[in-house]
Amino acid sequence: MGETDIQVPATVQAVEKLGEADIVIGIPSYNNAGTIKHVVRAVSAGLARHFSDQRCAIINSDGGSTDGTPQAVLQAQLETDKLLLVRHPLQPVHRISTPYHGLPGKGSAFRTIFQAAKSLKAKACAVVDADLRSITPDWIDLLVRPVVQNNFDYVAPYYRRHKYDGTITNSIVYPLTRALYGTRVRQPIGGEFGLSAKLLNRLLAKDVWETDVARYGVDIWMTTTALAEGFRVCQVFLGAKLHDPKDPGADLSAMLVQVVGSLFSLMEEHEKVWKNVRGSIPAPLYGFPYAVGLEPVRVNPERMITAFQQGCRDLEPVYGSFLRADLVGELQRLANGQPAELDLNDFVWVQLIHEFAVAYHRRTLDRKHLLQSLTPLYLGWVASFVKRTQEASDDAAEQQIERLSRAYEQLKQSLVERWEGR
Amino acid sequence: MNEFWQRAVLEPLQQLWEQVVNYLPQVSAAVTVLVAAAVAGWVVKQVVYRGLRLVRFDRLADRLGFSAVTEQVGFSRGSSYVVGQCAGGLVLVVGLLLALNALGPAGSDLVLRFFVFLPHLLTAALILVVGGIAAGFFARGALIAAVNAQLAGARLLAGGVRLFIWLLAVIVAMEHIEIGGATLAITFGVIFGGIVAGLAIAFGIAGQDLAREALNSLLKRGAREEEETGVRHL
Repeated sequence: MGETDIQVPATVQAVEKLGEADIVIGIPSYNNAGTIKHVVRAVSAGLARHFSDQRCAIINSDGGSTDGTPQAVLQAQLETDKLLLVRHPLQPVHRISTPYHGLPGKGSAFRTIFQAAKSLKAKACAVVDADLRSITPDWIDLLVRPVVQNNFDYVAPYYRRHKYDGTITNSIVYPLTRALYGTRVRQPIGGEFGLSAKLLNRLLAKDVWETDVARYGVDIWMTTTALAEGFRVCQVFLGAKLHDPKDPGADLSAMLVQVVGSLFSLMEEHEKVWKNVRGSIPAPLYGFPYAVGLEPVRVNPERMITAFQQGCRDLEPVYGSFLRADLVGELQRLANGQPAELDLNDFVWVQLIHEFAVAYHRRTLDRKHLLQSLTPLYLGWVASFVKRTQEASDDAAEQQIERLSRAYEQLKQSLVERWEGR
Repeated sequence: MNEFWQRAVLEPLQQLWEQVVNYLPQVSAAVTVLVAAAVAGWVVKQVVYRGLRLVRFDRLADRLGFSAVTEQVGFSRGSSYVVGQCAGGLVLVVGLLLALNALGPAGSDLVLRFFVFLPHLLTAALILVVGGIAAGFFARGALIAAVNAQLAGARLLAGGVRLFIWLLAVIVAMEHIEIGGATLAITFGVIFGGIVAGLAIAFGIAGQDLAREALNSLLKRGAREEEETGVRHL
């Protein structure tokens, strides 16, 4: 049995019983009894409606739910006869440290699904979250068809989101990934995606499944691997994404450590690729991007501004140990100004992120401390963004993100120079 | 009177003079060795410092995390400078021991005692270095965590953590070189135990509600943050 083969005997037997499948849909779950029945039914209906001529299988990889999630899956009325319930190995650490997407052992769940898909000799595999409320059967078609029909290797989701939904993605993950690897994937850490067999085998062969990147940043790792290794990437419009609230105890600084840490770690891995990339092109977008009514959100930037000011004041010695003196001075100027006038502009923000990436790379500071210290500055950027866009439409706010992304691209050369210590 | 003067003053003076004259070659040898060691130490320091700068040792030290450690201990002039200082200092210490040895049996005895004591001294120094690093590390962690939790007096808290760890390291180091003995440890234990007990009683009796609120607030911080700011981060 090779290293990428399924290790759990019960799962091996279950997969062997299924035989082969052209399309595999994976649903990783952990305590999603309230929503998973709907998700399984939507997936089943999608496969029956759009891929009735193909052999399909649905795999639920559960992390040891205690709320009856596996029973809920079995109760779902299916339009396909191939359903596989497996359990991904969940180590104690997974239960203690929940990754930012709220699912303990998400990396293990993905690995189990990918291994099963490989054993079933699937041509395409898609994964959807078990907590989705807005999934429709068409999502399956959108996620799988670009792989089976257009030979894409990685299908990323494209959602309509409120302008203040996904601010870490908007301020760091999307623009930095775009500037680094030269392809615009608007939701690089979306929970849904489609994969070709080629990319799936490549991911399984990688030696990261036991590391923190797989544990906490499996989504950004897959997107980055696809982009950096030249796989064909596209996006599909899925409308709005409504899902159960994530772990209410999730701490912002822990989220930043996991997400930004994964990004920076991947920057080190793909250093040779991104250093030579300039500018960016959009990844092809499939599906019809219709307008979606989004719930209005009342935002209060006061608390964020207070956090920013306290951070700049109290963490000045920490920032002084790795940030350029002019940036430390700029932060002090912003923190000492009137709260109502706070404006952490795009170019300062991008340079701050670059300095954090360089400090992470050089290990100037303990990496966890470094990433945790980003929290007040991030809140300062969010507060500035909110103040700039409070009266703006979602589309106008999106233009601001586009401007920020261009700033990341314009300052790319200086990042390369700083990274190389020039 | 003359005899008294001769025995009380002149003879001791003459003996002293003879001793000085007899001892002078050893003293001058010791001084010469010491001066030579100082010059050699300075030269070694400069050569090591400049040599390491030339081969960009600082960048390597940055990558290996050595610079962060030296900065935490209080050396902010770069790793090459620290290594240069250590090399120069080592030459000076060797010179000092040679100079003491050159002073004759008394000096040799001192050198011997020094070597017997050296392991204790080095262990104490190591305890202080590790204590310094730990104090810096934990103080910074406490500071960042307190700032992220938006606690007032975050710097005070971090300062307290730093002081506590430094105190602990100093006491352990002093105990190791047998200064103060158990008295210091007991004093520290009594004071620290008293502070903790006092705070526990004060917090427990007077601040039950405050404690409950603080714990609730810490446990639900993420949710409260999104709720209060209206922003969804991911």
